[in-house]
Amino acid sequence: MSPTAAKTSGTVEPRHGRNFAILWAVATAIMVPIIIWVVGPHIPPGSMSDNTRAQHDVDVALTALAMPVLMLVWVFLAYAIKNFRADKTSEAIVDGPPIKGNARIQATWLIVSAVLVVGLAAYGTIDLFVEHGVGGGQGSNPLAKPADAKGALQIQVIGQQWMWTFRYPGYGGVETQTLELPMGRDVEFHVTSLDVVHSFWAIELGVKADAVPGADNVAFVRALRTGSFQVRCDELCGLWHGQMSTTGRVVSSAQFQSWIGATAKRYAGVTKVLPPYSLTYYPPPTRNAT
Amino acid sequence: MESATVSVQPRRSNASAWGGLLKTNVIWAVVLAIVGYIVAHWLGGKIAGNIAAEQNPGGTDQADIAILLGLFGSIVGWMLGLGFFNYPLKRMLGRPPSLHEGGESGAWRYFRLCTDHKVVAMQYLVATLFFFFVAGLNAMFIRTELTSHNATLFPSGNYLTLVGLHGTMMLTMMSAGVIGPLGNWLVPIMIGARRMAFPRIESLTMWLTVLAGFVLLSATLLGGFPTGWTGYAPLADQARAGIDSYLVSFLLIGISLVLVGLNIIVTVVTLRAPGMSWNRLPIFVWGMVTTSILAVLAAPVLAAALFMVMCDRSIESTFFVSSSGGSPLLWDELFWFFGHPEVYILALPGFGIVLEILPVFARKPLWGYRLAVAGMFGVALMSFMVWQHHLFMSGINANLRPFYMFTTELISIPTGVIFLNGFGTLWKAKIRFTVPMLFCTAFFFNFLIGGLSGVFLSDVTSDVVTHGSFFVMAHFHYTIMGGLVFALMGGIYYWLPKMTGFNLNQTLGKIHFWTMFVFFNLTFFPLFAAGMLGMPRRVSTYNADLHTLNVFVSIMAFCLGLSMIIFIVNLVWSMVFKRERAAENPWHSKSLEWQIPTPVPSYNFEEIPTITGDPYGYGLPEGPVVDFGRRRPAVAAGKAGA
Amino acid sequence: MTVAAEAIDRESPETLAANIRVGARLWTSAAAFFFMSFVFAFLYLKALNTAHSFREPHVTPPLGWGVAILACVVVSTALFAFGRTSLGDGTASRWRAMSLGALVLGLAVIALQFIEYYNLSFGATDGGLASVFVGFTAAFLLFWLAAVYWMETIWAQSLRGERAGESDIKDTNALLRPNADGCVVYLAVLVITEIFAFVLLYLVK
Repeated sequence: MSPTAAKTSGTVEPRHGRNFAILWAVATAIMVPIIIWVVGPHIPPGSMSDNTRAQHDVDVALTALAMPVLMLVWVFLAYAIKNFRADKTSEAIVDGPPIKGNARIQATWLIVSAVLVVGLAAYGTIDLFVEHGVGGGQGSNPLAKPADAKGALQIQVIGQQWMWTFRYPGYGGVETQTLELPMGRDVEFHVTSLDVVHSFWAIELGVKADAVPGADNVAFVRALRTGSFQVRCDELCGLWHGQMSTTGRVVSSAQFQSWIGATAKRYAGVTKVLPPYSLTYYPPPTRNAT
Repeated sequence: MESATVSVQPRRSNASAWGGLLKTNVIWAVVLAIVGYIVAHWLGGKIAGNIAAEQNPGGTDQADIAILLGLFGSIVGWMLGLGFFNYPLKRMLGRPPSLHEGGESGAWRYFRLCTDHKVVAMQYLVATLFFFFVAGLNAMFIRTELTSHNATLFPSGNYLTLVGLHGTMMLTMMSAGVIGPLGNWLVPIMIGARRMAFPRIESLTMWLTVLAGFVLLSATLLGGFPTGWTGYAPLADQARAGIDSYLVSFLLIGISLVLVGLNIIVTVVTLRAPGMSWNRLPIFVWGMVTTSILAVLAAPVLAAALFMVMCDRSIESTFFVSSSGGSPLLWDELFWFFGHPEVYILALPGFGIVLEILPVFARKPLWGYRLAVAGMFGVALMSFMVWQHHLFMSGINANLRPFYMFTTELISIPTGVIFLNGFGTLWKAKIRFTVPMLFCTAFFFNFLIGGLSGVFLSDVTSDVVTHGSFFVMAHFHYTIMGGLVFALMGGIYYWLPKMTGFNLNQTLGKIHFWTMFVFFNLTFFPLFAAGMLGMPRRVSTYNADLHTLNVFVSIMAFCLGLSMIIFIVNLVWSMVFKRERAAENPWHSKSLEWQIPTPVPSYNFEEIPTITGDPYGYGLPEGPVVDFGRRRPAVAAGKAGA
Repeated sequence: MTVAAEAIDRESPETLAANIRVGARLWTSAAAFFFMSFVFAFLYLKALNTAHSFREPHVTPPLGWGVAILACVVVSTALFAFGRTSLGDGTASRWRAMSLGALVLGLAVIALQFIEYYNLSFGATDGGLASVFVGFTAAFLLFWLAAVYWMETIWAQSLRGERAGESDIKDTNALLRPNADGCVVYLAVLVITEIFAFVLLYLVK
């Protein structure tokens, strides 16, 4: 019994390879600009800070880069579904050509994907350092710091079940329940926790750092516009994890100075009895939640 | 290698129904498990009573020593009731080793320790599907809760327990979901063997999985657990008694994973029929082998981490308590060292199923067989080198982040190879879009989106936005549900006619497929947006801006649930009521499992076959994959081509 | 051959020996990864030293008991390993004596560990090292118990021998040596683990 070939005498075999490549190229050429110029500007998380700008740019780049891959698969599937169907009119099971592989295609695929991966990794690494860690928590010894890290405003973010408080070591260690920071200045968050693991996510500022008890997690931001931003807890921390949110504000330098001065004065009595400012706290052990 | 059958002696049968009731079976297991819990709990209370009174003078309403011991007592009772201690005790008395337990006929064999791998596979199928649907029901409750952005339907503790149950049950049951039913059924037959290497252990892994599911559900009786499936400490240390159920259940699954992986690897290495060389092994078997490597090596790390939490909760050790020399990051590291291979334990079987089924319906050989095998091994090996990408924001040493970004992106190469294999197989093919083929095609569509979203998550900059948000949720639902579950459905529609001897209804199957595919995508694609717009995971209240999106997703999720009901209807109708006899080889496959009669006799092959080729000889004039010698000449002629 | 009758394979011992050989190595690998988690826990917590509480001042693991336990583990394994070389070669007495000695010492390990717990001057609550100490020794004890069980079954089977028709495997006596070989692989990793643990827990300051 002879193998049933896809070619029967008298018909010309369509040039599937070429056809598919053309369709793919066209699809990619359409989608990539759409992503970059039409969809791109609407991709979150906005441009309130240097972090979110960088995150937005990376997301647009990644989405645009994903388009050729997406189109490869979608165009191929559509092409195969249309052109490589078995003949429905016949009951007989007809085999396709016994192609077991193609070393050149395999090698090309592997090389191209390796180049893409290395390129992506390099891009990601460079971006991470150029943008001072892009707002991600870097642990207690951050590598990717802003140029003038020494002059950054230090704010400690303390997570506990189930609220956020903020301490300003540069202003006497006053602890507040509201987060305000000045526009246009590097801010260095020191995120920690008093009990279980939380995660400090200042969404529009593009900051995310896990609050780990006994650890100090540093993240940077420089806000570019005034306005308010959401703060949510991003790591499941118990019953009211979903309610552990607050609103922070970015204000002008002058407004910030007056606010922090007034706050420090108002809470001076409380600040005196608080534990001294420290990068980690170890409250006395509490009983198990009952 | 394998000797031909020599003697013909009927196995002892359990013909009498009442006789079956009295011997060891699952009913005894349930009874003794409850007794075991009570006894051990009482014992634990006696041990712990003095300690608890000392350390907590105000009294305590939970005694983890008692509860943990109670749960271990239930494990002992369960195994006792099923008869798993009989053989070990016999061995201690010096009796020689043996392979089979007897009692391998009659309906009771499905409710007890049975050493026929096909029976174990069917038991696994029922068990994993049952828990899959329970977990799916939990998902429906979760989506109901999320239809309101600030009102709550469930109290917070209940909601978090629902979330944790859904996640844990799905992950644990779907880890066993392919390797249990399909792995156990197919691996011996595909390699031309009569048995798995260790038949009793095989049955043990199945019954431990069932027990694990019920132990997990017992969390609802003990106050639930607030940690989700990731069990982060020290929240796990702090939580109420329900988390002990989670810990013990997950531990059972870990043990089961090690044993089932061990069994499969030993079977494939030592029990292959003559002629079944490594490069003739079906790709599904390679998928099972690579999954098993991960199971054997990664699950013990989970077991160790769970053990540490149990120590923290019972003997008050401080592994994860930072004020006493411990660290939550220790849990993070240990858990995710297991956690990442775990998701490949979920993904690799899907690859195996799809690449096994594709050639049958494309009527072409598997394209790039060696590359596919290399890809699977590449994925398995690299899955141990990427786990810190779950910890990019956790405050790990900043030096590590670029390295793990690189390794995570690197793992997309062997994963992408699967796509190349699939597409090469479909190239110039003669595709028949049967129900299994539909599911396998959808696999590529879904897994692509899942995989691409993984690239976003692997980039640290992008991960700052998406870590811990609904974007991650959408990513893993696309890869695991869109990938593995779709492949599993395809595998069930493909192999169930052989496993049970009855056809599944193809029309219902197509309705099931289309509703599942459409509503799955409509449910999960919007969640990428929800994540990027600032919705964290595991919350019941969220920003009002996202309300419409969530209502839409919930409605789509309910429709997805309806598609599952169509599947259940198909299963029950076809297997219980209609019972239409299946042909011996309805898909005209050249693979070995389709060359034997349906239903498959308990000894699989009358004679161990000599393998003459790989199972993908489509388009070639070669005969079937196996030479049965003087047997079945009529069947052989019918298989070569059209 | 009729289709109606169900056949029993009288399996040859070579296949089963291969099963045990591969299975023992896989089980041992799993155990190794389990213990590596504890090694990681020790090193990680020591490096972090959160709240300076990794090694509380009064936490000193008792060296004497540690040496005794380690010695029993090593000698028990050595006895079993050397004894099995004379399995099935007719000189039953050397195997019997050594395997019995291995079992007795194996049980001694368990007893000694409980005595060590009783005499411990600290509890698991007392810091990172204390937690790792108690957690690891307890886990090791479970794995050691499995090893003792394994040794016992081989010893018991060698003493009893096979009666006719008891098993669906041909010639189970030929399986004794492969079974013992597999057990020794597992024991070897337990010995390595215990030595490593001894150094980390008792010796490293």
